[in-house]
Amino acid sequence: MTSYIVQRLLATIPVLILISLITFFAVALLPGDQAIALLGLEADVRQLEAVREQLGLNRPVVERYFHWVYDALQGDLGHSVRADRAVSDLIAKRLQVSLELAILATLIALTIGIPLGLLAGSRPNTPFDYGGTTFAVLGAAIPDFWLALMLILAFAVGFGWFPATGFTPFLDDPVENLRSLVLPAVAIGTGQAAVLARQTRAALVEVLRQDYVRTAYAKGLPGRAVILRHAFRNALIPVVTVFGIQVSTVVAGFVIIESVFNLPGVGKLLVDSVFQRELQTVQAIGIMLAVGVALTNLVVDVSYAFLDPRIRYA
Amino acid sequence: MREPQTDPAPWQAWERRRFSREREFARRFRHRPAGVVSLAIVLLVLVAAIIPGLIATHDPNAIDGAATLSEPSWEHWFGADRLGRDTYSRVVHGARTALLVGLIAVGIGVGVGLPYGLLAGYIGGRKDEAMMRLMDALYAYPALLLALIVIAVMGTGLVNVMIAIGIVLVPVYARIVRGSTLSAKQNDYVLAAEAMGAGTPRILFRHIAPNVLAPVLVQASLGIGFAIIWEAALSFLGLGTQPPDPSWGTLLKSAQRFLATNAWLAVFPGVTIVLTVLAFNLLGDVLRDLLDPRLRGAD
Repeated sequence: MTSYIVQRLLATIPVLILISLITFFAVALLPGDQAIALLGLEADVRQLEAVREQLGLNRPVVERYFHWVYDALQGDLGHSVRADRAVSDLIAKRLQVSLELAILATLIALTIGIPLGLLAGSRPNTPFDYGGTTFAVLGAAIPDFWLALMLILAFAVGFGWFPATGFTPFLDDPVENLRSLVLPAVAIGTGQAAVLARQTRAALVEVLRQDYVRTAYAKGLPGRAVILRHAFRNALIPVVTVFGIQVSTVVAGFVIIESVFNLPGVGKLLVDSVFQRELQTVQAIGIMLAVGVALTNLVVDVSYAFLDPRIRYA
Repeated sequence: MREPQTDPAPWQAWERRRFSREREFARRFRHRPAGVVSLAIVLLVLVAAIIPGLIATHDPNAIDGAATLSEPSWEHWFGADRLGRDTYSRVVHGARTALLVGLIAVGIGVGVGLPYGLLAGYIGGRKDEAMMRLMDALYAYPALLLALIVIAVMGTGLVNVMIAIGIVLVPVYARIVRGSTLSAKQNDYVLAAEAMGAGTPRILFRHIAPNVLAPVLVQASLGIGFAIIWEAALSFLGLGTQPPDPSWGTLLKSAQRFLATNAWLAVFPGVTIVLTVLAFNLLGDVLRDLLDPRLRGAD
């Protein structure tokens, strides 16, 4: 198992290098001048030159890439010209909101998606199955930002149970903090739950056809024990894979949903930076979130070793 | 003297086989209600996109002070916005933006991903490995982040949104085409073309490409659904279509302010997006089942 984990760790290194290349060169090579983007078309030539000098845009692009990676590895993600602050400071201030939201959304996705998939998969061609499949198909077609609007309409405007916008920090008031994050988390988590439900159902239906499940039934084990102890664990392997892929969708979710609910998170900072064309901040958030997704996928890959004995004893 | 005639029988047999295959496909498609309903919705959206005047009831940008924020009625089926513009007509005209982004973004994805995947799969070896690692990294890169980086560099607007979504879709098609090419290149007709001295482009585009199109077509249907959602999302954030042009995303963005008082402004465009995306997704699923039985129930 150790060699498997080491192998996965080593395989992540080229992925991280490629992520850094994509993030850097997407900004460096696509048409567009960072200095003009920041100052506008009417800016003075000398001002533009000063910004280019400040951002190091006059140096060769390969040299800039290595500088950028070297600085990023030391925690220096660049400087925001508009905010006149280190980008890492801007991100650090907002990271808590996004992390809290991502964790809550993932919990919602898991607690809805997997039981629903189990219910549908263990009773194929019953109303449970049709209900679960309908949820899965609809969930994939409903844009999370529209769901967010409908949730605001029903639970903030209609019932008044949750605030429509805004955020209360956890240390100020834990209950209000949770209330301010429930609707955004449901908006992000529902789509993920739909994908997980669909995958769990498909995996369970496949596993229930296996000989060892028939053997378990033949031994006289009750249905619940067969599904939970024998089938579910094996059905989990493809579900975990999909869960890994879904992490990048959660990232996309909080980028949009934070703007809908006006939450002061990294996603909102990213969208604001795109509007202001603060490319250094966009680049920094891009690399940070992409690396976060890659590392989460590494954890998912390593978790196979615990779920699948064939990997553990290989 | 009579012209020597070639025997028409083989051609007729080929034509018969081709038509019977198409008839069989149509027959199987008709037996899938989800496919038929989805196709009907897709066709309706297509009509709305091509000739919106045919089903719209008003000029989408006509301002009518008397109708400001009016509720759904016989005059304004989906109500009217704060400038009195007819929401139904704006939804109908928004179909053009949605479909245009869907088709062009998928066009960019297929246009770059297809030759890339064909070449990688055909040449194989280390070059293929290197080419596909780049695609894997692009694929693993969160799609919205990539799109936002492209928009941040190139600026907001519909064209840049199409390019951004297209770039995001490239690795999807490259991976699918490369996978199908790996198996297609093992066929005897490729060996025969190579033996006859056909060049690589001819082998790729004349012999292999037609045989890898089925999974691309399926993915294209799903890709259009994906692109419609992303265009709406980016326009909702204010990064895509700019007012006063109607787009489903901008309609929702302007509806957000009136959620407490005029909820229908957000309900109708949203339901339209859901139905359209659902139609493209279901159509993709049905096409996958019919075109590639190996993938049936794959997910």
